[in-house]
Amino acid sequence: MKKILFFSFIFLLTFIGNAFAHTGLETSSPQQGEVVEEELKQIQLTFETKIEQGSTFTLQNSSGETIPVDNISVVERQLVGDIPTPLQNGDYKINWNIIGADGHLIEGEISFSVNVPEEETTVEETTEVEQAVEENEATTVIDANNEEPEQEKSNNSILIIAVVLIVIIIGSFLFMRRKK
Amino acid sequence: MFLLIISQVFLYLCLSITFGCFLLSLIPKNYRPDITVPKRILLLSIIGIPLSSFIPVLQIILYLIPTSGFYESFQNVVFTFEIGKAWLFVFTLSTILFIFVLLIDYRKEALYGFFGIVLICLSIVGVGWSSHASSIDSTWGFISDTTHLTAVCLWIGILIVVSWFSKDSSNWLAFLKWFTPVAILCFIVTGISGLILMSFVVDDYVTSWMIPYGQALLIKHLFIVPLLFYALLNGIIIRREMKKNIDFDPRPWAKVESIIILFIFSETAVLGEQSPPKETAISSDTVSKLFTMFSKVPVQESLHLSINFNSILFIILAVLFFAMTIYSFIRKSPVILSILMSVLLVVCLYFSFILSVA
Repeated sequence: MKKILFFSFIFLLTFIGNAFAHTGLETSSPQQGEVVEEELKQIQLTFETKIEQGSTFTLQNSSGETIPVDNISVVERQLVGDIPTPLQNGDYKINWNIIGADGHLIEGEISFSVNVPEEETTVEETTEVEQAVEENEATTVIDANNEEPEQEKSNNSILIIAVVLIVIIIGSFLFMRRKK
Repeated sequence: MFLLIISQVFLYLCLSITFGCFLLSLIPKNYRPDITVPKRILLLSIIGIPLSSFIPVLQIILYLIPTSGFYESFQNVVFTFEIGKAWLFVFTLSTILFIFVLLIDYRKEALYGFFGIVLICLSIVGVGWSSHASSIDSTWGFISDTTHLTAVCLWIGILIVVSWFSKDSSNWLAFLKWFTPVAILCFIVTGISGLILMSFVVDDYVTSWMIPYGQALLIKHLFIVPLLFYALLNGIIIRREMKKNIDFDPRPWAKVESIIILFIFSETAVLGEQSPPKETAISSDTVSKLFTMFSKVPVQESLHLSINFNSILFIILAVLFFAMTIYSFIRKSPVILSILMSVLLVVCLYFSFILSVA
């Protein structure tokens, strides 16, 4: 019995650290990446399955300050909250934390920005394009860094694993044959 | 996280053992080995059912305490949440069962055994109720999850009780005669309901290997290979061996089969704690660490299988380990060696699949 426990323990160890990185969100208003051009009065999040009471979300502006949201309520698959004071133009982030009907705690975030036109409308477009370009660059740089040395390394370790396994096969074969 | 997984494995074990005890009490004595399950083991398994299924409920209560205090969160979760109501249902049934077993000798009359089976089946329904699949599709998800669990507990329950709690191997051949078809039927039912469950949560099997859920599912499926091998060994080859040699003890090999099941239970528990593929956007945040450790394929939209040198190498190694598993039986080596060989067989199969994705 101790051996079994030991085995399953070792086996399970492999899986620790996979935190809850779910995305059970179906749609939302505002959506991820949306630029809101009218006054935002309500935030609505719709999930893929029923969610339980106690599910909630917070709203943050780009400097990390929490903005008050009123009447956060859960109705079946929806999480709704009212924004009492008009939001200033800028980037915002919704952090949601829900409890699924199967009891899973799930969290996620949605970024959006508010840009209610006052005088000029040309400024926003350029910033958006710039942002997109920046993002693209960032991802390509990461990719180029990652690939090559890692490939070599993992290929080597795979060969080492294969050799170790072959040694185990030969070893255990000889061991079994010698007995009796 | 770790406690959650352990608790789920323990839950499956407790359900199986309790189910197995009651079922075997209904089988006439000359169709089974002489079995004595100590009363405290049975009582312990019965208590284990509500205890281990409480852990996920507790997790939510602890999460809610900072906002609404202990008493209110407890009340809220247990009486209004799906998972809480399901647990309350299971808790009530187990309490009745516990008192019943404590006061009455269930082996005395067939009716008592039936009563136990009904209660344990209802508990399984309760566990299925709060499952992930039933939160996605409340009818078919619930039905297939409950069927899956019932078939597994029926099959494995009998296997565990007979292999770990029988006094000797008397009537073993008579036992195999009815248990083999039951096991085959349960295996088929488990497989079909498992595939239906999979269709709810997995879009593309190979692509899902990139996230932890897919990894656990793949490993679970790979463990079916040694499981089937030992099932075949126990169902057919052992029977032949016993006819040749009267002193042959089949129980260690039945125990090995139940140990392989423990691995499968572990993977199932891991599955329950992971976000299923349909609800997971694949990104560098959600990708499985186990996957990136061995596969050099960058995180991408979809994956497919393509055979290459490495995957063939590991398939060959897997075949060799399979041969070694058979050889260890022929040479009558200690069963622990056999388990080791079959675990390494799964490891090789795993590498072969993971290294062949592109």
